[in-house]
Amino acid sequence: MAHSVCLTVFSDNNPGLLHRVTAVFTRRKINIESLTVSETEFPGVSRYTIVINAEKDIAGKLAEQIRKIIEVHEVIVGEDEAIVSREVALIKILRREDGGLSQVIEDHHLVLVSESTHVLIFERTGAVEEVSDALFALRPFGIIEFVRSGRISMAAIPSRWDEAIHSGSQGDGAFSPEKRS
Amino acid sequence: MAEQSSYSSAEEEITGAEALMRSLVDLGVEVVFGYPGGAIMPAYDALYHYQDRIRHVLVRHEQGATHAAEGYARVTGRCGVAIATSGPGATNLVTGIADALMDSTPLVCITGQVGRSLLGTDAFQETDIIGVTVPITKWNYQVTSPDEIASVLAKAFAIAQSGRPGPVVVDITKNAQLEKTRYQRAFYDPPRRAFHTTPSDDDFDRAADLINEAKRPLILAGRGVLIARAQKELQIFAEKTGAPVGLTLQGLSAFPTRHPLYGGMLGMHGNYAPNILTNEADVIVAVGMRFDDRVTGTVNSYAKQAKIVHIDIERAEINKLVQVDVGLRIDARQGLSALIDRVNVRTHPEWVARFAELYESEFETVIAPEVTPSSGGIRMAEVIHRLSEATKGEAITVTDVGQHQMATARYYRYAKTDGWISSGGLGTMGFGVPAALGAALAVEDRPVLAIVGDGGFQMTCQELGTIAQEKAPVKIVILNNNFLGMVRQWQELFFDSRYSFVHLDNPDFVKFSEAFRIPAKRVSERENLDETIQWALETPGPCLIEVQVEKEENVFPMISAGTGVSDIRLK
Repeated sequence: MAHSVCLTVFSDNNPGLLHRVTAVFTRRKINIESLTVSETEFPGVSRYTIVINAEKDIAGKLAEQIRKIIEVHEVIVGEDEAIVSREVALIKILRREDGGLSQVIEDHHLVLVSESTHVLIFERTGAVEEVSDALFALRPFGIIEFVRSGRISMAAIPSRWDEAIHSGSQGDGAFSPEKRS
Repeated sequence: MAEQSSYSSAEEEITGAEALMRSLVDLGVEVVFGYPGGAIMPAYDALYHYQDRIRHVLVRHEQGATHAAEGYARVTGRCGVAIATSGPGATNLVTGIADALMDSTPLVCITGQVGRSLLGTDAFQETDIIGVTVPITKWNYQVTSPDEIASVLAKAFAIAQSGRPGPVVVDITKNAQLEKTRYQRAFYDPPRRAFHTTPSDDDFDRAADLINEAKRPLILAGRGVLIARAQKELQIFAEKTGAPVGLTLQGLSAFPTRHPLYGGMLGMHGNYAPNILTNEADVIVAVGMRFDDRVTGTVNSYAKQAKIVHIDIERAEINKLVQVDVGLRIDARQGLSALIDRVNVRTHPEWVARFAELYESEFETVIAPEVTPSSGGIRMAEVIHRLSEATKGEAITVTDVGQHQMATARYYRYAKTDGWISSGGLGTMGFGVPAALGAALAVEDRPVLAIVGDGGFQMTCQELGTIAQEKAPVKIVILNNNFLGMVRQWQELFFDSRYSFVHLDNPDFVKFSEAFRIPAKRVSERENLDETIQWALETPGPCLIEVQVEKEENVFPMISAGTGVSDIRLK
């Protein structure tokens, strides 16, 4: 049965690599639910958090296809281990009489990040479900616009990525003119 | 110290274009296939000064360059190189690049690109070829500075040839070709990854245990055996375990066809025995093959009874389509060597006899009537049989795609390895003639036969111009039935004989060939076949024979779409 699966991809930070990674999903007509790219603690290495709806064995096969990309260091399929996920949303509503808004702000840990004569913008950071709940709670107040970041994830325990780094997986800078093969 | 070039020293500044030539020479490139044009002109200007060290073959269409480079690579085991300009030059390479990816052929394509300042502006002949080729390359890269050329070329060749080989595109902007750099030979060490694991002793032991306990073992060998040069190991492994060998289409000629353990070709138009017995084997050892759907038929009824050991260098291929019991991610040669040390000497006479029995029924129903027909028009199978006899099974056969391809695969009796060059994974019509050109430039001691149909021939027949200009000794055999034969066969069998746009009114192929100053003959009578073949083999340089064959013959046996290997039909 298809369900939400999180793939974390570690790769060199090269232009065009995002296209190569996403093409693996496009080929199988798998829609990417969310995608974030960030730097990592290792210079020159990027981290992609990709959430898709897929069956688990398909996710494993996608991970293998992504590992074929030369610049990819490792792929971790989220279900393999406990992961901690967070997402951030910005939600814009019309400024109005309170009407219970204070309570919603308190219940859903909303942070007011911008206010003007006509609109208020709140930030909610939390687990994916918490962000969804906050959006739902704000609906009666008339949401003009919102944006969600998509989730970022991290293994709760030492991950294969840590092992990969410590066992000597190296970046792809091996262009030494002096070295003979 | 890098070897000093006679053209410039390491200290001297040279153009990026010359750095490209220096790189090609340093990487051991002897032949390139290409076509000049605007954005690659600086490279061609540099090539003008290097033509004593790099042989450039001017093709008639860039697709021809890719297939010729593939043919060259398949024969030499080294990278084929194709060069084209930006825009249409680059997009014309696409089919060959996709073909090389599917068939694991090492190919480096070098394309010109508009200058860096014009990138993304819809400049004349600008195409984002990096974007276009992402899904069909093993790696690609756009060079925008001459300083990158040596290192990127070293990386491109290493990636194309290592592991599971494949195509690489290096796109070089015009400014990078024109600007100056200090050339220094570069080397590339592929990165090590944690997931680049090799099988443990325990994995090999488990595989060997399965094989040692097998009563009905079967080896399925593919192109990975040829790429890894593991033909000898395959034969030793088969002889030690007493297991018959079935070859995939792309594995043909990896095992001698006259060996008592040769079980025949696998798959849709393969032999009867290895297909039927795939579903009776108790242990299957798959080596350097990827369980393509043309081999397995429907996987729902494929080898369910068997324990499967899978040796493949590509980790993603293990458990991709067929769940296996032991997956060994390793080169075919190393994998087989490790198993040879662990397996017991066994024989399975009753099991091997089953292959012979089923071959007999295939021989009576299909092979004999095809190879030695008593009446009717010339059959494709008998042409291939006669070619096989006349060349003692030692030729390099390069085919196009369709019925003639299956006839060649089935009826040429390969006595020497590396005799089979064909487009298997992509099934590219138009592959045959240019690939044969590339192969013929790489070998001297074996005849190169381009066996093509009348349809596919006309997709790339302009390369006769290249063949004539290069005096490449290709013997072209057109099996002409005035039909797109394989499509017609499917229309007959599965679409109630509605022949929808498969008839071809062809040109006079003999005159066509002669227009390129390539001698040609036509044969339509059985009694003239042998002498025409002999004429072709004895004619120095290139020549062409058109064989008018039976118009509506079908290739059998056949596994119909959606059915399993044991449903293979003889008629």
